[in-house]
Amino acid sequence: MEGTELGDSVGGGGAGSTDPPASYTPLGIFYSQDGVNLNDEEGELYLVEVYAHRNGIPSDLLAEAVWKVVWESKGRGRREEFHLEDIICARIEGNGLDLMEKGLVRVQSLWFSDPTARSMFVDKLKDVSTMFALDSERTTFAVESERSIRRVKRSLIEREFVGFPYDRSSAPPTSYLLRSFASLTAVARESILRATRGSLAPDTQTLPDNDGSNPDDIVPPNPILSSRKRGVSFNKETWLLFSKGEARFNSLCLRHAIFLGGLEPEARPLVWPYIAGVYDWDEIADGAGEDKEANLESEYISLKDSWEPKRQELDDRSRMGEDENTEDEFTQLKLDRSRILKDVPRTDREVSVYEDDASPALEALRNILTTYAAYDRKTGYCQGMSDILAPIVFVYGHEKEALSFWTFATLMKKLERNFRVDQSGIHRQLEELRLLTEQSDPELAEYFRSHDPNYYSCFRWILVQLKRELPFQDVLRLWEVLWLEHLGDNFQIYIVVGLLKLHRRNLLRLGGFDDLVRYINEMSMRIDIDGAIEDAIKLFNRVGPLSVPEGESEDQEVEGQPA
Amino acid sequence: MARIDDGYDYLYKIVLVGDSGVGKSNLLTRFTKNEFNYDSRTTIGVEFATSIIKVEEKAIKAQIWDTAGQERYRAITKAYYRGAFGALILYDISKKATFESVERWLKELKENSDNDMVIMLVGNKSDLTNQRQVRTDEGKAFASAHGLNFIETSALDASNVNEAFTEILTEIYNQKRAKPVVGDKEQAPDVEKVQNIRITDPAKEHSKKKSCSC
Repeated sequence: MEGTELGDSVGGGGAGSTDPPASYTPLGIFYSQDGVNLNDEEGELYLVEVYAHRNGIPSDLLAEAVWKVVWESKGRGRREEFHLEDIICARIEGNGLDLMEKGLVRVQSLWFSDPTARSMFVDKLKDVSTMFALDSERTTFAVESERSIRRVKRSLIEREFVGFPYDRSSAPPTSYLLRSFASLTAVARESILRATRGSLAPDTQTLPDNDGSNPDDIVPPNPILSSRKRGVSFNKETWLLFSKGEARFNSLCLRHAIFLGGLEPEARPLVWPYIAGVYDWDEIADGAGEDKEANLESEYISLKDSWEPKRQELDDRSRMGEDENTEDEFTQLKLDRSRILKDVPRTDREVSVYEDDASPALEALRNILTTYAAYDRKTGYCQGMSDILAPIVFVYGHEKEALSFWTFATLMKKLERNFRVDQSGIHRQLEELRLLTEQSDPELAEYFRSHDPNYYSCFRWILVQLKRELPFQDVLRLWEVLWLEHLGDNFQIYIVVGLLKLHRRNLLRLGGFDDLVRYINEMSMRIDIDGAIEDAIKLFNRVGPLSVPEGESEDQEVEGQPA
Repeated sequence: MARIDDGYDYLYKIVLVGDSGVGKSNLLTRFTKNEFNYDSRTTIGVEFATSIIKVEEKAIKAQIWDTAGQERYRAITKAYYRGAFGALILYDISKKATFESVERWLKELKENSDNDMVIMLVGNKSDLTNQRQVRTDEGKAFASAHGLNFIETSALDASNVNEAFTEILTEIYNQKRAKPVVGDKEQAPDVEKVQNIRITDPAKEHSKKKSCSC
């Protein structure tokens, strides 16, 4: 089907309610306006809008014609044509269909005057890709193109999908969908990895063995998969288009894109308040951030005022013990403050903004932690919190003390369980770790049962979300994925089990608890974080969401059925 | 003498305990790497280092476990005491409260370890002479009353650091040697074997004292 042929056969102009939005310029049967750039010249994101207008043309021909325009016309975008394998999300809205690229760098917006043609177009898309609904309304879909799937052996796909081990009716539908999608992603990626790195064990990636016969000599190798990359990172320019309301906006697609590819560093100060839950995703397009920031600022200042006038008294170095059972509130706060003053100078000092003893970023850490200790007396301050806060202040800059505080405080609603006096939160997560290990690797679980039944060797990993195990920039990459909670609120456990499984051959040869603790400690700074995230997604798809005995684990916010 | 590749005859596990900020990690890095860092990170959970010293022509490998000091994490960190042959309880001579905690640390060690562990009390930061809040004789008296070895150290200026570790390792070595060992002592040692030859002697004398050099 030739575009010109169609164009010749049709007169211009739509009719009534099927008219396209005014911004479209009719060009024959396709009203296409190449690269309607919603950003300035330097901007990354632009919409390529295609309008398909029916005028006596059969729906199937119309769908076919649009298909050609979208995938086969050169120069439709500013740089190059669209590729199906770059599409990660599709969204249906009325007669419109948006196709989003990795990192949401480009969005292809289609508008059909003929709803049947729209459906047929989507059917064609389904023929060459796998689509899973991300929401219960079935308007937003994760897309994985057939082209990247093709390399995967059929049997592998069947094992992952057809032979899915869960009864669909009993599994939470959302998790099922996300899991299935994630499965495909991981399988596809693994196949590519396999193709590029030669054959691998079919089950788990494994690191090379150590030669040492003495367990004391078995050390974690440096990551061999450090070249693994996740998708395209989400950038600042794209975000600005969304926040200025200049791009069509869908929080699910945004989160999906960020989950797959992470954020570019310049985008973090803008996006983290949403990821952390300080701002609501649905407020992005209203530009609510700026108003809200003023409110947060004044609230923070009043909280800070609760202790700051008493700064001298708090910092008075009279004798203080480590006794946590003191009754008096002020004495408790004073104890917390003394710990804060002791720990802050020992936090991330190799990071440039924290290097100088007189750094304003260090002062921001002290202020925020003290304000938090006064704000949440139940938790107060304890070691590890400065580790959680330092990346936040780094991302926002020390001037944004209020925003850092609220990001920290919002995250602490979830992480606070790690720092409780009774350590119940830590124990619960170590229990989840045990359950997931048992479900996914019985042999490894048996090893732990004999040598470290409480999984204490992984305590540090859990307590500060792998902060001590990764270079600073990798911590940021991991945390934004964890905080998104795109695959549930305990994705960290999947990361941890994925890492244990990666090292399982060495772990199983270790002597006992002491060797295990030593080995796991020595894995620090030898972790390929992008690889770990991919392995965790893969694990999630295979094992499914963890059913925690207490039954208090929250399900995802989206629901749907497989497309 | 059969030796395995990295060349040691005995492997002894030692734990470092004491309140947060008394200088456990720096004492360790001073001993194992001869380094001191004012900004060293707080310890979460446990960290390790090893060092080999010679005692009577035998190479003794010390595997030193540096534990987190904050009370909230003790429930978990005390799991790391298991199998330790020796422990250093540290306090900061410039902070009285850290000395007052020593009794609690001692109790916890005894509750969570094998009963013949060699324990040494270490008053660290002996370089802070102007800020001293715990006198040397107070430390010594406490150690004596509880049958502990005693030393004052400064991780900052390195004084007595090697002495502290050498002393505790020598004492552990002597304690082990004083009793017949299970198996051939020519055997290549490893963690398990060393642990197997542990002896239990409640009457072990802990009287050896050492005063500080400051």
